[in-house]
Amino acid sequence: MSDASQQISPQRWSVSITWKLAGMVFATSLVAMFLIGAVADNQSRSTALDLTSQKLANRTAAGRLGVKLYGERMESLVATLAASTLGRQPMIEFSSQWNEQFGIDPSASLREAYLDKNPHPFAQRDRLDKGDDGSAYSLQHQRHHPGLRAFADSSGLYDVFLIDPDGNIVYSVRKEDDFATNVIDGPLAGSGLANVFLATKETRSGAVSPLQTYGPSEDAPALFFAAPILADNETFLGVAAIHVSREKLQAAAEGQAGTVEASRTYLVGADGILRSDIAEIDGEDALSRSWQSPLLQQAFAEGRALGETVGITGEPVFAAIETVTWGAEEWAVVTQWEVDVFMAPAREMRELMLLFAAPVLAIILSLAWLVSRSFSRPIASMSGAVARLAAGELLEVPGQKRNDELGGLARALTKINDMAMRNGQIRRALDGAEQALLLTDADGKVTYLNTAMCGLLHRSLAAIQAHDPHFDPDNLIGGSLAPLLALDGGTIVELATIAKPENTVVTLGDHAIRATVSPLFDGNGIRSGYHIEWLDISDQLAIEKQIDDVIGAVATGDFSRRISVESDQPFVANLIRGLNSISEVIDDFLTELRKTLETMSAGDTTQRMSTGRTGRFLEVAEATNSTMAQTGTLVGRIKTSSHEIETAAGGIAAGASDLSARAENQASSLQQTAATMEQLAANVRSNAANIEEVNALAEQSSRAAENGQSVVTNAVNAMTRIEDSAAKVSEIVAVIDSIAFQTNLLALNAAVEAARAGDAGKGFAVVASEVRTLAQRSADAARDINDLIQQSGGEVADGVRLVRSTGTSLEEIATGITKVAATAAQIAASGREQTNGIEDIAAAVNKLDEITQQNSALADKSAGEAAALSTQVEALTALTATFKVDDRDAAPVAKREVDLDTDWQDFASKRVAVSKTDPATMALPKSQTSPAAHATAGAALATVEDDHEDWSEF
Amino acid sequence: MTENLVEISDDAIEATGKTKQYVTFLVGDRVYAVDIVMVREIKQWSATTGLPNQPSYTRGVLNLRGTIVPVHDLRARFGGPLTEPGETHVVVIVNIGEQTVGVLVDAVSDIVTVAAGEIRPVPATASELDSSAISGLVNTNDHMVALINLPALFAVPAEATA
Repeated sequence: MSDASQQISPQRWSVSITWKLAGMVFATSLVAMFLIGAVADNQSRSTALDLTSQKLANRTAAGRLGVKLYGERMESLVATLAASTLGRQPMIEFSSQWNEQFGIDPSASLREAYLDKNPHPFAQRDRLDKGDDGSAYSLQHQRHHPGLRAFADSSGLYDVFLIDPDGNIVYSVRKEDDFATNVIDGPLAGSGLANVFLATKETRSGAVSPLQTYGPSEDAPALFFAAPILADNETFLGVAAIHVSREKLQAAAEGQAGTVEASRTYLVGADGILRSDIAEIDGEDALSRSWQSPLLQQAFAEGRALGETVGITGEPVFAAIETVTWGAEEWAVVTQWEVDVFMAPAREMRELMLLFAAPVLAIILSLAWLVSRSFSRPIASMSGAVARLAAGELLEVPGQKRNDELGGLARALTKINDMAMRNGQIRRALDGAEQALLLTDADGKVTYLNTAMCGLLHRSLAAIQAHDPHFDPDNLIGGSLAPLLALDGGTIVELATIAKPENTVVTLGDHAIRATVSPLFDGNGIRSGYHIEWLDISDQLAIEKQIDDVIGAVATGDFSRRISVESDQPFVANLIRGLNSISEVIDDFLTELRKTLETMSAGDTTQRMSTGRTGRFLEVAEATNSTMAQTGTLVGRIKTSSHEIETAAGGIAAGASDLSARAENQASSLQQTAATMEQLAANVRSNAANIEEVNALAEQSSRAAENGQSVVTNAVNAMTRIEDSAAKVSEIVAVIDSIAFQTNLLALNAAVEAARAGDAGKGFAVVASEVRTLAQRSADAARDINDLIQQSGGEVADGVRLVRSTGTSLEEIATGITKVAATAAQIAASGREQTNGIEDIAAAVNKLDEITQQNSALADKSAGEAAALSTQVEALTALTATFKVDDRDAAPVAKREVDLDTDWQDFASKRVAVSKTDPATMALPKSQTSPAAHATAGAALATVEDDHEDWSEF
Repeated sequence: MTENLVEISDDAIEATGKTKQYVTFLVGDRVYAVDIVMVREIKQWSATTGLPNQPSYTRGVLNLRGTIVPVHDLRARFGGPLTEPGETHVVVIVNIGEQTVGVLVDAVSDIVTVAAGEIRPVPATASELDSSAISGLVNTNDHMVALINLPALFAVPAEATA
C-alpha cells in the first residue's frame, strides 16, 4: 500500500478486508461459543452423573441396610415367638391335643372344623377363634388364637405356624391350605416351610428359607423363618415358623424415601433371577424374570458396583448395586435410574444454548461486518488519495478530522506531502541561484550541482583538466569531489574533520575561486553531507591590493597616493572614489594650516585661515584663527599693563615711607606698656607670699583642734569609769539591803517564838522589836545611798553628753580650718597663675615691640623695591613692542590709563593670589637679569601687600 | 516594809482584858493577819518543787528541815493572778491543826496586839466564800486588817488526806 505504483483496485481491496475481518471475528466467536458450549454440556452431564451416582449409591446402601435389618428382625421375631410362652404354651397344648384327641386322623378333623366349616371367606379365615367341633383343641385355640393373630398382625407377618416334631402343622394363623398338614410327607414336602422345619429340627437352631413358590399361597413366592421351641429341659417340642410379608421386604429395600421417577429398586439373586416383584411390570416377576449384567457380576465379586448398564426392562440405566446375605443365599439390592430421565436437565440446557447461539452469532456477524467496514472504507479512500498525490495531483488527504490512528495517519501523510512540495520549491530556487553550489553526501560523493556551478566548471574546464585530464563536468553527480578539492593545493584534505564552514581558495588558470565548505547535519546531529559554495574572486583581489597600498601610505602621512584601478562593482567603485577624495581634501587642508602657522611664528598675528570648510576641518581652521586673534589681544594687553605697573610702583614707594613713620610711633607706646606690666607682676608676687603665711597658720589651728579632740576622748573614758564604780557601789548597797531584809525576818521569827513563849518571852519580844527597828533603819540607809548613786549616775551621763558635744564642736572647727587652708592654697595657686599670665603679657609686649621695629625696617625696604620695579617695567614695554598687533587689541590700554591713579588699590587686591606665595619669594636675590624681571616685580608687589595686611590685622 | 501599820490602843486591850497577837502581811496593798500562835516560821522565798495535779494556787512543796510543806499562793487563792516571786517575797509557814502549810505573800508587815472586843464581824453582804475565808476585821489607824481563816482556806484537802 505504501508503494504507489502497485495499483490495486480500491473496491476489491475494500470488500476483501471487510469480509476478512468480519469472517475472522465470526469464526473466532463460533469457536469460542462451541468450546464454551461443549465444556458446559460436559460439565452439566458430569455433574448430573455425579449427583445421580451419589444419590443412587446412598439409596442402595440404605436399601441394603433395610433388607439386612428386616431379615434380622424376622429372625429375632421368630426366635422370640419360639422362646416365649406366646409360642411355647400353645405348641405344647396344640401338639398334645393333636396326638390325644383326634386319634387316627387329627388332620382331617381340624381341616374340616377350621377350613371347610369356616364361616369366613378364604382371606379372612383367621377371624375364626373357635371351631364348632367342641373339641379340647378348639378350646385351646380359642385361648391362644387371638394372641398369636395379634402377634402376626402387629409384626406385619403373613402367617405364623406351629409345627410339632413330627412335622404336623398343628396351628396356623391364616388357616390356609397348609393348616393341619404334614410338612414331611404331606403336600408341603419340599416347600420352603418344609425345608426350614427340617433344618431347624436338625440343627436345633433358627433357619431361613430361600425364596420359593409356595403352593398354599396360590404358588406365590414365599419366605419363611423358623426357630425351634424347646422345653426347659431342652426337649424338642416343635418348630415355630413365620411366613414373611414380601411387600414389607420390598418396602425395606426401597427405604423410607420412596421412589423417584423412573427409578426402581429390586432384589436379585446370584443367579440373576429376581427375588422381588417389580410394581410397574404386570405379573409376578420374582423367580420368573432374570437380569444379567456385567455390573451385577462385578457387584457379587466386589460387594458393590456402580455404573451404566442395560436395565431390567432393556432400557439404558444408571444402577447402583450392593449385595446382602439372606439366609444361605447372597442377594443383590439393585437401584436403577433411567439415563434419559436423569440426564434430562443437561439435555435441556444444551438445547437452550443452541437456541441462543444462533441469534447471537448472527448479531456478532453483522457487528463485525459494520466495524470492519468503518475501518476499511477510510483506508481505501486514503489509499486512492495517496496514489493520486504520488502522481503529482494536488488534493486533500481524506479523514484528517478523525480522532483515531487513521486520522493520525492522514495528517502525517498531509505533512509528508507538504514537505515534499516545499523541498521541490527549494530545489528550483537553488537551480536558479547565481551562486555556484554543490552538495555531497557524507562520503564526499557529489549529489547535486546547480546551473551556476555547471557554468563555472565549463568555464574553467581547461584549467581543471590540466590537473585531471579525465574530469567531465557533465558526469560529476555520483563522482568524487576529490579532483576539485585537489586544486587548492591540499588545504582541505579530510572532509570529515570539518566542524564549521571553512574557506579555501582554488586557482583555476587566471581565476581565483573561493570554495566555502560547510558540513550538513541531520535532525539527530549526525553528519549527512557537505555544502560547497564557489565564488570567483580574481577582480576583488586586485582591488583589495591597491586599497591596501593607499591606506598604508595614508597611515604614514603620505596623502599624495591615489587608486588608479577601475571596478565594475558599484560599491568598490564608490569606495575607490571616496578614498581618493579623502586624500585630496586632507592634503589641501594641511598645506594651508602649515602656511598660517609659519606667519604667526614670524610675529604676524593678522593672518587668517579660510573658513569655507565643514566638520573638523572647519573646527581646526576656526581654532587656529582664534589662537591668532587671542595672541594679538594678549600682546596688546601686556603692553597696556606695563604702563599701569609703572604708575603703581610710584604709589607703593610713597605708602612705604608713611608706614615706617607710624611703626616708630607704635614702638614707643609699647615700651610704656611693658613697664606697667612689670609693676603689676611684682604686686601679684607679694600677694602670693601673704597667702602662704595664712596657709601655715591654718595648719597650726587644725593641729590644735585635733589635740582638743583627744582630750575630749579621755574625759569620756573617765566618765565611763565613774559609771562603773557607781554600779559597784549599787551592788554593795543591794547586799546591805538584803542583809537588812534577812535581819527583819530573823526578828519577826524571834517575835513569833517570843509570842509562843507567852509571858516568858515578853522580854525577848522587846529585843526582837528593837532588832526589827535596826534592820528597818539599815534598809532605809541603803535605799538613801542607792538614790544618791542613781543621782550621781545621771549627772555623769550629762557630763559625758556635754564632753561629746565639745568633741563634735572641735571636729567642726578642725574641718573649718582645713577649708580655710584649702581656700588659701587655691588663692596662692591663682596668684601664681596671675604671675605667669602677667609674665606672658610682658613677653608678648616685648615681642610686639620687636616686630614693630622689624616692620619699620621692612617699610623702608619696600620703598626701595618699588623703585626697582619701575625699571623692570620699562624693560617689559620694550619687549612687547616687537609684536605686530591689530589696532583693536591696543585700544583698551589707553582707556585704562585714564583711571589708573584712583584704581591702584583695587588692582593690588586682584593680585592676592600672588601675595600668598611662599616667603621664599622674598629671599630671591634683589638684582635679576632681564629674563627673570617679571618674577622679581611680582615679588616686590607681594611684599608690600603682605605688610599692608599685617598692619590692618594688628 | 511599812511600819506602824497597826497601833491598837492600850485602853482597848485593858478594857477587855483579853488580847491576841497577830502577824500582819501584805498581798498587793491589802493587809491580812493571822494569829501568831499558828505561825511556825517566816521564810524568805526560795524555789519550790512543782507537783502535778495540784490546785492552781499551789506553788509546789518546800523541804523545811526534813518536813515536806506545801506552799500556797495567797493572791491566787483569793482569785488574783499567780504571784511572780522574787528576793523580797516571803513564805509564812503556819500550822493548821496537825498540818504545816506555807503561804506565799508579798511582804510581812508587823506583829500587832489586838483586844478581843476590837474584832468586828464580816459584813453580811459578802459572799459565802469571803465570809468563810475571813474570820473578822480589825480597824487600825490606817488600814482595815482582814483576819484570815486559815483552816477554811487551806485545811480542807488536809482533812481529806488525814
